[in-house]
This record gives sequence, structure tokens and C-alpha cells, in this order.
Amino acid sequence: MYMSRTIDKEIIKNFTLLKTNQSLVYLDNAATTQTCVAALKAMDDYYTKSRANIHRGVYNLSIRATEQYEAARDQVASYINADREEIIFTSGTTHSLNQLAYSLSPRLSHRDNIVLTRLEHHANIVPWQQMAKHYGFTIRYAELNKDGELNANSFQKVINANTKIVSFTLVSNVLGTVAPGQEIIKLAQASKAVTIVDAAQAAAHITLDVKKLNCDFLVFSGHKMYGPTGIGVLYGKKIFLEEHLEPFLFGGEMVQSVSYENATWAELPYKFEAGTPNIAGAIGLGAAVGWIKKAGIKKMATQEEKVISYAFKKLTPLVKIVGTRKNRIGIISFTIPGIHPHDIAEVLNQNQVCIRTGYHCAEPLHHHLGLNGTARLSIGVYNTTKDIDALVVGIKKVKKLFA
Amino acid sequence: MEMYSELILDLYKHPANKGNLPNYTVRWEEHNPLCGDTVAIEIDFGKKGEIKNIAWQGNGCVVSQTAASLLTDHVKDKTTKVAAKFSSEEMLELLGLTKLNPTRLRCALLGLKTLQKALASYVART
Ligand SMILES: Cc1ncc(COP(=O)(O)O)c(C=O)c1O
Repeated sequence: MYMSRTIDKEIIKNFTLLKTNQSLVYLDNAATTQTCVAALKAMDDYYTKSRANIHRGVYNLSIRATEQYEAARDQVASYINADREEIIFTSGTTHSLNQLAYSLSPRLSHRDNIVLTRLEHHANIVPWQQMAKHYGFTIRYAELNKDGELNANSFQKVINANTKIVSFTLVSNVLGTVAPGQEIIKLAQASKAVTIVDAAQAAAHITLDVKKLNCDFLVFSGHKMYGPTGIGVLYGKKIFLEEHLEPFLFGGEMVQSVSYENATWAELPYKFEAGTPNIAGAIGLGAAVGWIKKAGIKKMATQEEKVISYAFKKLTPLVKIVGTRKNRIGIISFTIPGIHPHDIAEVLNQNQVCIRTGYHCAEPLHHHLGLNGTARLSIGVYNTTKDIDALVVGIKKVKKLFA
Repeated sequence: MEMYSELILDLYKHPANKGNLPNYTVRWEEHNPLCGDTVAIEIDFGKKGEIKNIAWQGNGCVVSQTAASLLTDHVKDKTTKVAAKFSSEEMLELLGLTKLNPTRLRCALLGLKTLQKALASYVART
């Protein structure tokens, strides 16, 4: 079952931190992935060769910076099969979801409802809760089936004629389960609801195609897809961005013309990018996306599937895995009866194995499942079955210690 | 520093003062929002304001739970005033864990925070 050393080396070459810490077993990729060398190099190039503000200068340096920034937008657009005007750079998924909650909620009233799911990350719950307090709409939660999955039926039960927004995570950051996005979106559209897909956990692992999904919005973060921190994407369907969504931040760059009394907005996507953006971050994300495309997301997924299958097999006799094997990518959350997740992680840390513990920013889901925290492993393209072996050694050590 | 020393693990498996009091003057519960650890402390105060009896309940990691055992043992029979002065540094010394990272520090001090709030609520009442 061991991966051949050559593939191993080929991938590791792209991740400096892992290359220089070969004894480190990094299994917290759902929190953040390591940054690929292509992204680091692109950002370094910007800082050392093209550093200037964008869209502002007539001088060559600024033009070069602008070109790189806009090329990153093209990269990201093609990665999710969108048009370039539909890609808005934000600071990340949380920013994108807050922007949507702030921008879409004012049109809702106390008669309306929005639909979220039991699985959501705090970033797709808390902004809506706050808006609900202000505008009076209700929040409905699509239930999980007995295998802990979302399916069309989960949504059928809660969507009605008053449902104005359906926002859901494509891949659960706790269970790793993949939701049937297309089906859910069709259902939501039958009720004329606006659809939002949280693709934070999907972006580095499955092919995203916004035309096929046919969602109105899709959001993700660069740092979970081998890119830098502080950069993310808000994709919006062009017609939606043009006709229905007002700018969220106001200031420079997003305006066409300004007087002391009034202002008009720039065209897409600039009307949604006020101020100097995270130029280096966008360039880094563009490079990361380019690297993923070159490596081949399907190939990556096949490798990850191998590792997660192996992990599932090895862990099943040792721990209590939350959820089933079905429809799962990249993530396994588990508990060991009688041992607190913190203690599991602490002992694993002594073996240089990095896993996450606690609620993973999904406290309601944990309570819903009757869990007081879990330990979670999540893999990236560089993980191998050897990493799982190291994890298993650590878990056996924990169990012995607490026996 | 050995976080999982025999002493600590033994105390985790066989906690001291864990349970409920038949009668108590105050009860206070705190939790750590990061990991969900909880510690609740019940205190029965004597006539002179001394901690006549103390017990705790809780859920959580080795650090937060053994800290609660050690802390409740330590402050038993002390006056409210003396107990309220017990510091974070002293708590860590008692645990024998002085180089904790910020995450685990919160676990280590959860019991102390609970105790301090319990004492404050008693003082406010009297
Ligand atoms: C499903 C999901 N949504 C949203 C987020 C928030 O992403 P970020 O912290 O990058 O804004 C995360 C990441 O933790 C996530 O896993």
C-alpha cells in the first residue's frame, strides 16, 4: 500500500516546509494547507520585481503588477469555469459569506426564511443569525439522514415558497461528506431561492464547475488550496452581480465617477473590490490554482482517496469514526471513549503528528450529534499512507497511556 | 515537562473531590468555548466564610480535570480571602506544568477561573 518514493518526492518538492521537516506528519489540511512553491515564488516575484499598486499607474511597474493581478483572476475563473468578471477577490470564505449575508438580507422580511444545514461551519451560520435578528427572517436547517449526509430530501422538507436563500457547504469540514450540489440547487431554484455554495473544503479536492452547478454564488479560501492566507473568492453569476447586488465596501477603485454629493460604480468586478486589494495574495492564489491544474485535480483526488481509504481501514478498529465511509473525501473526525480529544492531539504532537481537536468551528453540529468535541485528521495531496501509519502509532500510544 | 506523568494520569483516572455536595452555598460553572471543557464547582461555606466543603464536576482533558482536583484539594478549609488570592502561577506550580502553550494554559486555568467566579458571587451575596 505504500506510495512509491518517487511520487512522494515529486510532490514534496513543492512544499518547502514539509521538505525541510521530513519527520513532520501534517494532517490538518482542512484548517489550512501548506503553501506550494509556485505560490511562494509568484508572490516573491511580485514583491521583488513588480511591486506597485494596481489599476493606478501609467508607469510600467504598475502595469506589470496589474497584469499579474488580473492574470490571477483569469486563472481562478477558468479553475471554476466562470467568467473573469464574476470573480471577486475577498480575504476568504468568511469575508465572502459575510458580504453575502449583509448584501442579500435587507431584501428579506419576517415572512421569509433562509435554509442552511446542520453541517455548516460557523462562517455560514453566525452572519445569517445576526442578519435574522435585524431583518426578522427565520433560519431553517436541512437535516442529515441517518448516515450523517445531506440529500435532496433533506432540503425538500424545509424549502418552501418563502425560502429566499439556500446556503450550504459542498463538503463538510467535520465529516468530509460531499453534498449533491446540483440537485440541491435545482430544488432551491424551483422556489426561486438564491443559492450559495460554501466550497471552502471542496476547492482543493474536487472539480468545481459553476456553470454545471448553476449556483448564484460560490465562495472559497486560498489558504485551503495550497495558496496564501488572507485571500479568497466570491464568485457571483454575472447577471446577479450586475442587477441585484449592491457594493459592500465603498471607496477607491470601485467607483466610476465621484462628486462631493454622489458616486457611480465601476463595472464588474471592480465595483466589489474597494480599496487596494491583497495583490500578492491574489497573485499567489492564481499560481496555486495553476499548480493544481498542472498536477491534475483528478490525479490528486485519486491519491487522496487511497490515503483516506487506508486511514478508514486502519482507524476503524481503534477509534469511533463519526459518520460512514460513503461519499467522503479527505476528512475523518473521531473520538476515543474516555479520552479527551485534546489529550489525543497532545500525545500525537509529541510524535510530531498534527491533527485538529475541538469543534472545528462547527459547534452546533457537534452538539447535534451529541459530541463534546472530536479529533480530526484531514489530508492534502502530499500525505501518504506512511502518515497514517504514524498517526496509528500515536493513537496506540494514547490508548496505552490512558488504559 | 511531562504532561502525562503518572501522578497526573492517576489523578485523572481517580479524581479528588469530584461529585456533588448535598448542600452548597454557591455553584458556578465555566466552560472553554474552544474545546468544550467544562468545570462546575460547588462550595459549602462555613460560618466564618471558610470553604467548609468543596466539590466539582466536569468534562474535559487531562489538564483541566486534574487541575480541578488539585485546586479543590488545595483551597479546602481556607478562608474566602485566602482562596481568592490563589494565583495563576500558583495553579501551574501545583500542576507541575509551567511551560504550557496558550491553548493548554486555558485548560489549566479553567478550574481557577471557575473558583474565582464562585467566590466572587459568594462575596457579592454576603
Ligand atoms: C466549510 C467551511 N466554511 C468556511 C470556512 C471559513 O474559511 P476561512 O477561515 O478561510 O474564512 C471553513 C474553514 O475553516 C470551512 O471549512
